[in-house]
Amino acid sequence: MMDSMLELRVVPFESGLSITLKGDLDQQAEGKIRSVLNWEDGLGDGRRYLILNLHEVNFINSAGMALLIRIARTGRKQNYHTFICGASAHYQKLFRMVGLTEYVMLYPDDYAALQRIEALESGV
Amino acid sequence: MGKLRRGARLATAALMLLLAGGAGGWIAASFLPHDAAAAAASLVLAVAAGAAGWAARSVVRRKERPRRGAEGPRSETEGAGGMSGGPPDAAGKDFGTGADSGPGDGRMPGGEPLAAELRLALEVQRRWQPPVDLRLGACRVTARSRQAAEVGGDLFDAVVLDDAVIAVLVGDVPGKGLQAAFMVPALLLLFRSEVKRGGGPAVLLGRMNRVLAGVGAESLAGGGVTLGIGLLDAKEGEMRYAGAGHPAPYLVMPGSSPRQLDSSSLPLGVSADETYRETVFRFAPGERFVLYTDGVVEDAGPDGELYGFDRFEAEMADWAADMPAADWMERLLDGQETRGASRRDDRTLLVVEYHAGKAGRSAELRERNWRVPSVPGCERTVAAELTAMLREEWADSGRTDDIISCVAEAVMNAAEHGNGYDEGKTVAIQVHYGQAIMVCRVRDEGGGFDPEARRPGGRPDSDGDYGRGWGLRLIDELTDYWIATRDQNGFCVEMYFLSHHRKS
Repeated sequence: MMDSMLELRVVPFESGLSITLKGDLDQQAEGKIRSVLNWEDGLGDGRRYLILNLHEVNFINSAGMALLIRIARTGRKQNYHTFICGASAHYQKLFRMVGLTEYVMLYPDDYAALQRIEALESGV
Repeated sequence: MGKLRRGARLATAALMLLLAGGAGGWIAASFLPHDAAAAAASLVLAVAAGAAGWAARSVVRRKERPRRGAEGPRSETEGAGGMSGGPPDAAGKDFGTGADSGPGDGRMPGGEPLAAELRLALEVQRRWQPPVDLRLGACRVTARSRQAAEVGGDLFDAVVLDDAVIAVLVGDVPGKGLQAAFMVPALLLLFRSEVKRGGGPAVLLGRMNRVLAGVGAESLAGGGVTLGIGLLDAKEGEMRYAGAGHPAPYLVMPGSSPRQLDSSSLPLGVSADETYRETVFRFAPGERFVLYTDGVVEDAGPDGELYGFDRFEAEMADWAADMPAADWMERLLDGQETRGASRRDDRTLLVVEYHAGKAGRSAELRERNWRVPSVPGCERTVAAELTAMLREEWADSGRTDDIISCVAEAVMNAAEHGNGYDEGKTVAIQVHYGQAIMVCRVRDEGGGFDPEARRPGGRPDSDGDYGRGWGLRLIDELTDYWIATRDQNGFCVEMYFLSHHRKS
């Protein structure tokens, strides 16, 4: 088996977690993503928002997209919202094809996602 | 009108029945032993025959019934004189022939819209008739087809066999509309299954003829099916051709008068005992082989004058050596349209070119190959190599991301499902490309898988099921055309991508 080519950088913010992914998002990435936290227990400390920044992800295959959906579906059960930002137009197209957009909201960058989170927090 | 709509829905249901049967048959052609595949093809054709007749009769019967309600007796009178006063079978033959059944815009004579159903049928035909711009060795096959009605009866195909032989087909089914929508995919399926059973084009036509005669294709289609089939040895430049009632093809050498090959026999489906004659010739470098349907030469001008063989041969004689086949065909077809005539028949051209020995021309064919061991993640290696190649060679196509995603998914499927992640087995990736089209083949050593069985039927029951079948869904969405085939070398997924740059 080839090693995962994914690197993760986790940055907590007041109401959630921002995770920047770098490299390839595929079947082999699952172990690394699962090692970040115990997803079934939620984001911890009452955090309700998860931002996944894919700006530095070069390659996503169907296994990687399935992984994203599982994270987002877990979020629904554990009461956190998932935002994906930085995905290229091609991968945004693929996300819509496989139904990922039923579970996540797509934004161009961290800033736009954070603005939306602020609006949600303020009840807008 | 409501009844007519129901009739149209019945026709659509019949079409979907054919689609289901056709898909099953196509898969059978890819996965089953040859005899079983041929039997499946016959079954699909029989289903097509029954379904087409039933669909046509269903629509016609509803048209014939007196209409009630707001339109009153006046409508009854109009209805009786509408499509056909004859028996359902006879009316069924009329239905769908663009010239006879209406203005050719997808409407019934009474004005009932069938456009949606015909658009569906057209989409079916598009998916079954791949874009043809195929290169192998020194040979190139290009085809262009323009339909007179929304769904036409012309068919064409080109298939690579064993990486050394190209099988080409051009044919014509009498009738259009739903009739053609049923027959054309069934014939393509039959061709694709039979061509893999081996034998020359005459033998192939004989087998297809017996299948068609057996299901009464002549009475269904309102006549026999004309077909021309060529098997081209791309390395040797040798062509074996046989025709069944199809207009005789031409050999064209730039600077010389075109030469018509002798080819005469009954169309398919007329007599089960008919035998077909084969013509064998070897291409001279630069020579072209031109197949066409009768709609090209019988195209009528505004005064009713036919385009004719003389004009057609003059176009071939004037065809410059450096003019690509696609440009020549477009010029010819465009020229016919400038005559201002209303089209009554489809027009299809297929050209085989042979360029061996011509300096510079072989450089037009570009090919890349990779082979990777079947280990999890091997698709990343291929994706990286392919990305570098596409950025260098095909960057302006607008298809780079689509191609990388599709090939990666196919490689992942091949390594996991085809080779079972057996590191001793490899996945072979072959890419052929020109300016307008790229064909990517991903081959494994396994027995193949059933794409239909792997298509997700709906929302998965558990999280673990997410992603299952997505690879094929993405391939289906992102390619212009794809097929799965199996031969003695293993199982192969073949994907076609048209350059957006060239298309524009």
